Amino acid sequence: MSHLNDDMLAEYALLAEGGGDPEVAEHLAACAECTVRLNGVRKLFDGFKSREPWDAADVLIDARGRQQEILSFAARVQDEYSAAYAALSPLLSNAVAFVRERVERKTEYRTAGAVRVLAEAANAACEREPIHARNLADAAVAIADALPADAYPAAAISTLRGLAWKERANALRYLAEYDAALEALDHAAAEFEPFGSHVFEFASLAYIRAVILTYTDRLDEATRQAAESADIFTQHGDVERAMRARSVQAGVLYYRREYRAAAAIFEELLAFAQSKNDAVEIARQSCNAASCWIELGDGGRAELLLNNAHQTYESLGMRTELAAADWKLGVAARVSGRFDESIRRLRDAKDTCEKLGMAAETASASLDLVESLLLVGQTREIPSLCSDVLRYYRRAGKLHQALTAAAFLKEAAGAGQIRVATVRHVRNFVEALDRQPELLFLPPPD
Amino acid sequence: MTPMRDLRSAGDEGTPPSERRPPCVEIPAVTAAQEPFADVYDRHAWLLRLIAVRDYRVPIGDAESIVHDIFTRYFTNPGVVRGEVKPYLRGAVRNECLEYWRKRNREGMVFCDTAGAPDDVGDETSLADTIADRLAIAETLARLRPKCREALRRFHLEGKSMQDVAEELDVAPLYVRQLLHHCRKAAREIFESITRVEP
Repeated sequence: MSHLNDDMLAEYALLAEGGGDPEVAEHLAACAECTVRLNGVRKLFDGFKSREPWDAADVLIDARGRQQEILSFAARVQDEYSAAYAALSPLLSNAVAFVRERVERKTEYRTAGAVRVLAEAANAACEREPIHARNLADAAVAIADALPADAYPAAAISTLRGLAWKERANALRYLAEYDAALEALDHAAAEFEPFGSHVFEFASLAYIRAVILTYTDRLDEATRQAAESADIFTQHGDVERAMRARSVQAGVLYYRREYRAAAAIFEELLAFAQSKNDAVEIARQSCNAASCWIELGDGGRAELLLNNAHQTYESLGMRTELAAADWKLGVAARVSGRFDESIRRLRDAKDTCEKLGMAAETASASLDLVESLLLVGQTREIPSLCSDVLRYYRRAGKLHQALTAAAFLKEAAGAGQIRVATVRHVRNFVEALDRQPELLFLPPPD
Repeated sequence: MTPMRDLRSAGDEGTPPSERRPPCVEIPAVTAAQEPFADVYDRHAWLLRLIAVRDYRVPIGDAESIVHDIFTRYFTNPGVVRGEVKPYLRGAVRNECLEYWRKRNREGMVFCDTAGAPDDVGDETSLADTIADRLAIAETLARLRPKCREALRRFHLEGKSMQDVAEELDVAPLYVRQLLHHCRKAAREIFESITRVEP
């Protein structure tokens, strides 16, 4: 059946009900598609007769001028960004030259584009060169603060100031200057606050805050911040960053020994990595989930995950990650009751970690080896392993309380008074010390 | 670091509306430097407005301000979005609308100016549909050239005869018939492009 053309439908729609061409009416009675199209046209033409759409159209027409304003502003900021990038790029990768340039004092850099360039550079540098990242962010903060109020819309200035403070907080996080980082986050939040409680930028602030609070053992607050970050990222469709926030949530749960809940999130992250075919992330999340299953006593499940991670790391030549996975495989074997295999694997993992200069991991693998040896009653080499733990902690730059704990372990081993509980007590203490540097070591209760 | 976010590749695919506009449609002048931003704006502004008005019952004038603020902040730092722009903008409009009502201490309140709403609007869904339709019609009218709008307004809203419209616009009555025909056709095309359900 051939359908009615648009003009025929429009003409029919303009006529009163039942007053149109009978042939058209006959066709419409038999054709659902044309009837739907006719209804659409009628809706439009009926709307022309109502005052409301006309008034709303006037509002939209008035807004056109503002649209032109936004587009001019956008183009200008982009030009500034390109100019700032060209001028600053030789300095961005040279920390000393950047400090000497004192960009924040030069009026030619006092633009929104320069703030963006510096903030992005700070973000990129924080892992590799956190001090340089902080200097870049500080310059961004100074420039953002000095932006002339009449040169940009107020919302743009607040956005740029918030961005600069956020990057300062991020750099300070990498420098472990947590109090200053939290203060910078407060500054950033104050800039973004007028835009609403679920503004996108709050997700990044909450993420950084969650990580800092985790490091400083404020785990309740860290959980809340990580959840808020994940929520806001999800609401804005940024699944990637929502997953990063979820990983902080999982980490906090792990520290709180809520292993089942942590495993559930790590497996969610694992599924996400699988959906993206990201082999390294799959391996990483497999190891994380495996650590939880080890704690929950499910060695088999942990081994399955760790074997997959082992294969990936081996095929990609990621030796340090491979050594860590092998160490966990040694622990999983013990949990599964295969003590000889556990001892063999842990001995190998310890040697590999040592060769790779992974002092902290070598100490941890040694502690696990001590634990497996104790379980089978092979105590001969335990005193020397405990001496090694003290040495590795020192080499890893652990706090003096960790050295005290290791010395206690060494003494207990020398006196033949070491037990599995003693080893676990020391291990737990040293793990907690990373987040609570003020902790003092106390021997375990008898 | 990424030196610059290329807004032309930012997110959603599809032909920009500006490439398919009929002659009765007003085409805003955009410079080459503004083009990538205009593209993002054109693709998403209507949706944001629709969400604000239909889902959050924000009055159209205020919805326009919300859309303006969202784009101002996004264009200030487009690097904030790493994935698709559309979900980010949807989240942004949701946040802004909630903030809008929070500031008026009316968060959670279902607000709608129902004056003139058809009597058969029975539930929230059909009310939302009605609001969406009206907004689509308003958007359609706003995109027409002024002469088209004037002719349609006088003929359809004010109920004037073609003779009267011709006199008021100082043109021949036959021309008015032609003009109305072309304007309605352009309006149908715009309306259809706005209300088309994307797969």
